[in-house]
Amino acid sequence: MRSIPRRDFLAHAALASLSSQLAGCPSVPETPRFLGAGHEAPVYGGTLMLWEESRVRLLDPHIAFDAVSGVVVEMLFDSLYGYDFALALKPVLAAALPEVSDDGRTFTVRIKPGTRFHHGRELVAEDVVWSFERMLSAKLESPGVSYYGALVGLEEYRAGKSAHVGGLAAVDRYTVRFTLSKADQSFVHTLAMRFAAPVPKELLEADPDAFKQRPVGTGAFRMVEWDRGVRVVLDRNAHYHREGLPYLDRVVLEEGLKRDTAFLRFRNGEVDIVQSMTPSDRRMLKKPGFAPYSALASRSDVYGLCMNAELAPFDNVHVRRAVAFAIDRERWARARNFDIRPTGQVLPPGIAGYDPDLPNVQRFDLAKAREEMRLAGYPDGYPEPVTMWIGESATSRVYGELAQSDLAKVGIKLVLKPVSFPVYLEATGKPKTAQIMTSGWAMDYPDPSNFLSLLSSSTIAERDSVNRSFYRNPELDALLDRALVEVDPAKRVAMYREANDLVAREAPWAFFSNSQAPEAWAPYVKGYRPHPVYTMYLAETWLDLPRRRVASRDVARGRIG
Amino acid sequence: MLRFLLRRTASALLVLWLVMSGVFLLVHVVGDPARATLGEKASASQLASFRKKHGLDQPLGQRYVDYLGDLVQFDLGTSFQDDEPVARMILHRLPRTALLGAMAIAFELLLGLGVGIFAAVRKNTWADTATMAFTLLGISLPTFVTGIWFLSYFAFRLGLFPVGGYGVTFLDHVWHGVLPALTLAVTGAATYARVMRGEMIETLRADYVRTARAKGLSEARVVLLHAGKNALVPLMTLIGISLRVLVSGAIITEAIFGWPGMGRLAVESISGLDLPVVMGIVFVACVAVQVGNVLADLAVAALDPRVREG
Repeated sequence: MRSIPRRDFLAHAALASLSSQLAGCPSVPETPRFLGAGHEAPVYGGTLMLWEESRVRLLDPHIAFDAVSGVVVEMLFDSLYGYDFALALKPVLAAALPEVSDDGRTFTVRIKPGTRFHHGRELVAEDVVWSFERMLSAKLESPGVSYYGALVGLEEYRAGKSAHVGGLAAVDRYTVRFTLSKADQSFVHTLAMRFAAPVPKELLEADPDAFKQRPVGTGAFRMVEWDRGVRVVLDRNAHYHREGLPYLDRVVLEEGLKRDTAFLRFRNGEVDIVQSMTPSDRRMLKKPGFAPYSALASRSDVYGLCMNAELAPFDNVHVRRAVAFAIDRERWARARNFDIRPTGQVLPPGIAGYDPDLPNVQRFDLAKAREEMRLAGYPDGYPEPVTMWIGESATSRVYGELAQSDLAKVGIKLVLKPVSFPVYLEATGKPKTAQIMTSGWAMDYPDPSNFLSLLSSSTIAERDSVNRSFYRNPELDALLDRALVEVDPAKRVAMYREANDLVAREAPWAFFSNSQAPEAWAPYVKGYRPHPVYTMYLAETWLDLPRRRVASRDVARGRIG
Repeated sequence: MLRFLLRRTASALLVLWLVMSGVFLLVHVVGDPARATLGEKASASQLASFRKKHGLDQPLGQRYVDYLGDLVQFDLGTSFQDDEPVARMILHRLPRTALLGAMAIAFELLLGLGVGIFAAVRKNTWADTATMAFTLLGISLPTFVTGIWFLSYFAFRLGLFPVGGYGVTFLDHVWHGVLPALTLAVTGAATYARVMRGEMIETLRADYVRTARAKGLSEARVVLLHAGKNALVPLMTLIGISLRVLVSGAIITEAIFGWPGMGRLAVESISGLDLPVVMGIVFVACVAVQVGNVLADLAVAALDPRVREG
């Protein structure tokens, strides 16, 4: 037998040791590593660590429209109104809900006196008017302009024919009046959008570039540092108009962390709240150690199979109904690990007009689906393959495959066409292009008009159509027009419920789900729960400090414990 | 040498033009940047206004001519999504990717040369076989597997390194960069190790090495200075080539570790169809690779008089 030289033996032993280490990775406890100190009442102080998978792009509330920027914008800027956890409108910078004139065209808003910007100056009505005019100007190209189309004089202002928007006026130091060209009861919700956030004129005029980097608003937190692509650091706003709030001293948002990396950090106690995770991370949240600190956050959105009512076979209402009956929504929810909640109507729960007992609510019924196909004239199924446009994500593919198998049972053969999101948007927004597609709508504000306008003929265009089903129904259009101007809340809700039922019956979409995304937070994060409107509502969040370590690295290495 | 340099520069410019033209055509046919930037809820008039502002309503040929005109003046345009000059965005990110790349090259050389020399002086032993097996593994493993494994094992389970991110101070950046740089370096180091081993075995057989030993020089001096220097020549070309691998690897590695460099910016810009940023990054990456190749050629020429003399 050949002897092995000592140094070779040592090298071999080291490699063997490394291999054994790699093979038997030390286990890590499936519990949070830190607990709170046990305070019952809120405690001031501490730094909350957040993360986002993408980067923050813009912090100007009048032009930022992407979700990640929105997280920071909502902390920096308050709007005139906001929403509570029950989706009810509440005054934020305003002192009370607006006074609405009898004709429903004039909204008078009184601002809370004593509200201050981060730099200390008091917010007055002129700031609101100036901020609106800035946001609405043609020069800024704000994506928010379309929400304020009803303001008197907007077109003239944007065309440069007028120096001011006629429908905006500072009545006195603390009162602003909005006048619309036609009554629109959803208008009040637009005053709760980020686009309605006041900004200080003097800072923007002095140095717009500096404002981009260090925006100043009236929100719960003020900007300290923004290292683009790396992190945003916000501190408590000492002038905040809600007395005693916020509790946190600092919020740090790290940009561009992949969700699996972020979840490792969360488990390490380096990130305090997670809102996006992989399926395996979701399973971890179901372990007893994490379960008390997680919840399913319901989102006010709707997803469905959008059918092009101008193209065969979906120009036939019976085929559309057949699709709506053929979808086994419970199975779809199971396939998505119950990250979605089955639905059969356009309005999500919590939105006025939603009714779980809607007479024509869409539901799974294979016999009825086959009967509808017979009524459509296709008792043996539709003879041609139908192209379904889907996105490139794994979720889109899952939906596509589920639709393929469900619709095959009623004789509709789907051919999937996965495309990138921009291509999808471009193609599905053109008339007579895409037969059927997966589609969704996340609310801009919690008013039924925001969902039902998706199906109004007024949102059809030759290019970039918002109504991607190209569904036209004069009865629905008239109902929506009447509801928009109706001042009596009860009558308005009844109209939207009727429209909701009509859409479910006519099935331009086969609605299948509302989202419910899992969220988790560290045990020492208190006063936090997912908000139905705001991505990250932290004004009332506090840290139960000092946090206590419950699982050390030594436990992780299996040495003790 | 000057003629050599001019020839290399001319060919680099030709490659740059071809790459930029190809990528320009590619990115301008994949979708509508207006829709990708403003989102699905933007109105038709907003989309039209966006297209007009950014010249997207012009014919493709006109856009190409305009782009090249701007490029020769080093004007990379303005980001669709961030409303920032692309040059500023890239300059903000470039030092971070450069730091990661420099650390990765350092690890590649340190590990690759060290392991290569180690294996060569112990050729045909257990140690040689085992290290070469590991280098084969290193070459075969995709970056995303190595990266995720490093992150979950060395950072999360063992707690030896930070779990992704970038840190605050310079030393913190370096500390956060160790694992991503190692991830980037694995393939290169493994390749260098194998090449270095082969070169060293050849060189150690050379007459001048035997002469050096006969003169009584220490083994370390013979191996590292006499044999090692000559074995390095073919590696110089490899280092130039590996810049390309580093650039493409950085895209994945930066995403895994949350390193805020150009790679991550590229991923985000491609998915958002932020064409000026995508084009800007391709331009900078292409220039970097070309410069790296020229420098590698110059280094070879400096090390090997035969190359220098033509």
